[in-house]
Amino acid sequence: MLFIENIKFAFTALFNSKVRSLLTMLGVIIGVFSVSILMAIGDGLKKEFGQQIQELGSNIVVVTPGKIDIESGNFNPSASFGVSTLTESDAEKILEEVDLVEKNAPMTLLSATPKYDDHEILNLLPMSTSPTYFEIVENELAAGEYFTQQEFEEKQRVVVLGGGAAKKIIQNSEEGEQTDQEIAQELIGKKLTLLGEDFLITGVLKIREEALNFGSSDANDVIVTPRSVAKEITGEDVVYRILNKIKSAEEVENAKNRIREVVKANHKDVEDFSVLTQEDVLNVFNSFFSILTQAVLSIAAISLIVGGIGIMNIMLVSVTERTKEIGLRKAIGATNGNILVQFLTEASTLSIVGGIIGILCAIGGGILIQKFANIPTIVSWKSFIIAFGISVATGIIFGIMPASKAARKHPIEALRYE
Amino acid sequence: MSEILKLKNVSKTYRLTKQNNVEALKNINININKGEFVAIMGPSGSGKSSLLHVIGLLDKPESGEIVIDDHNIADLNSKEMARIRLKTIGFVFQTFNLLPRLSAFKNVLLPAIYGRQPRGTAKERAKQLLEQVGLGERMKHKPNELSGGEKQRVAIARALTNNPTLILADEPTGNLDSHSGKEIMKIFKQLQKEGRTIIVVTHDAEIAKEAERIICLKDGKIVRS
Ligand SMILES: Nc1ncnc2c1ncn2[C@@H]1O[C@H](COP(=O)(O)OP(=O)(O)O)[C@@H](O)[C@H]1O
Ligand SMILES: [Mg+2]
Repeated sequence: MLFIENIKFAFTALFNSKVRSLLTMLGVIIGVFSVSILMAIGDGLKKEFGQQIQELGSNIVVVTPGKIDIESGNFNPSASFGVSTLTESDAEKILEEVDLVEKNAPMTLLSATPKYDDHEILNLLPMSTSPTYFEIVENELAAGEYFTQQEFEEKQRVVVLGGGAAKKIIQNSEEGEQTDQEIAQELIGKKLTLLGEDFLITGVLKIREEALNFGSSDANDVIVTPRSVAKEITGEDVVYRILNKIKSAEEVENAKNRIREVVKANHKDVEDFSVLTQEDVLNVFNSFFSILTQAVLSIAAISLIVGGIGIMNIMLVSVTERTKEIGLRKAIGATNGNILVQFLTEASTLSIVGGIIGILCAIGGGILIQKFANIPTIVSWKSFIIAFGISVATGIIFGIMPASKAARKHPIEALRYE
Repeated sequence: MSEILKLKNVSKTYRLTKQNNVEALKNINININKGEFVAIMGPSGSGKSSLLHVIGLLDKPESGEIVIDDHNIADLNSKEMARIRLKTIGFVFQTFNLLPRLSAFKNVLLPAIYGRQPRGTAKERAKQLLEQVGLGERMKHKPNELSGGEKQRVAIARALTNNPTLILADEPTGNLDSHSGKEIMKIFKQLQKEGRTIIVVTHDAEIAKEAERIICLKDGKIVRS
């Protein structure tokens, strides 16, 4: 009965000065809101990226330029975007010397803007590779064919479009609703201008739901040309990625080490590249998220300290205002402990109500962000429990000082207080 | 007849500064039996309130011995003293000291909450007590919706919530007109008939007449008992 009555007293006090209570809770509301919403975004992104990385396949090993320190998760991003030191011969050596590698494909991004029907199409990912690329990524066709080894060797001007790229091309030139399939059918046999030459569209890939994202474009936005053709036109021999398919998923770690040895030998013993498995990519990605989590936690800590100080302040005022009440309660038999618990309950009620408002705002905000900013959010029970725990803790920690001040009051002096 | 209260050589000094001390009570000796109705009289500043606070365990004496209901106060910690205030003593103040935000009913219920009485019985008793002091119709009223006499009756009902044997009242009629004052004294007489011990501080001789015994204080000393 005492506990329930304490909660009732707390709510009476809270509602008796609504504006004051709301202003006091604001710190906790903002703190809990920002933690919950950032956690929701973090979890959403983590899930989405996680699925995309899974999609890469557990038996794929990627060689990329630049040295990535996977253990610490720190790497110089420019290393992977800067001048590549990988070459076609690395890919050949891997295939020759590492038995565990079933097939591989060198990939090079082309810095060119494709044109269709005289319109420039932005945000696509033109790249050149070998026909084995299609066997490694296993992206099904919506229409047409992959380019063949023969076309590759004859340096024919052909391209295979990603499903997303096909959509962007059609949206740019025509109005009207079309299914992905219809778009694919329509584009087969049409011409696309790339690197100043006309290419025949021979295949269109199906859209993959979980495609690796590169900012404004994702893996569905690829435009795949034969490496032999691109090399002939641009005269460049650099390679940005080497995709290797390993014979069995269990051998991935061994294959990774062998590939590293082979490429290192081919690079005169300089390790200016990295060999990554799906797991490594996940690790890099997870360590990025742990940095994000730390940032969220420090925001949380700061805003909750601010919120807590607000609560402490208002509770000190409340204890002074209600000195007479404290004296009276003691006179009729309340122990110091009763008074302490009463004021702690009141402080916790303030912070819990604030926390609940903050969570509700975060749920609403999460839905809005998902809808309008298209950023995935997941508001989980975990974040509820964390936010709730944090607000209870804030109330109790910052309520202790005012509450013990109340509990220590001398009954007669408190009753005399005007 | 058994004693409910015994004071032996009780002194109380308020220490304001090192030099400036107020000796409010000087070697007070009092014995009060169960069921007595005692009035404490004396001029303002004579130490009546100080005496009542010490008896009511709201304040600690400087020296001397106090025994209430067979408990020697010197042996009790603050929690045990709170328990005696809760169960054995009912306090009535000159300024009522009702909690302004709570209804008359809730004010009367308050001591039951600390007494951990079952909810149902506590509510039933609070209702019954308010009816007993003639406020059956005013239970939902907040203190600021009640007259002075009504407030004091609520305060008396509150003092009775945990069925104490000892009622301490510090000038309970001091803020009331003489009619309301008489009503309050009638209630105290009634409570005495129920077997409770009543100690009332007053400087109104009319009121004191109702008591069986008058203790007169002057400058912190008993001058007549
Ligand atoms: N808290 C206090 N601090 C200092 N002096 C006090 C305090 N309470 C009472 N006194 C002094 O003690 C004396 C007795 O006061 P009190 O017991 O209130 O007398 P009464 O109730 O008979 O008017 C007075 O001189 C008063 O000024
Ligand atoms: Mg007095």
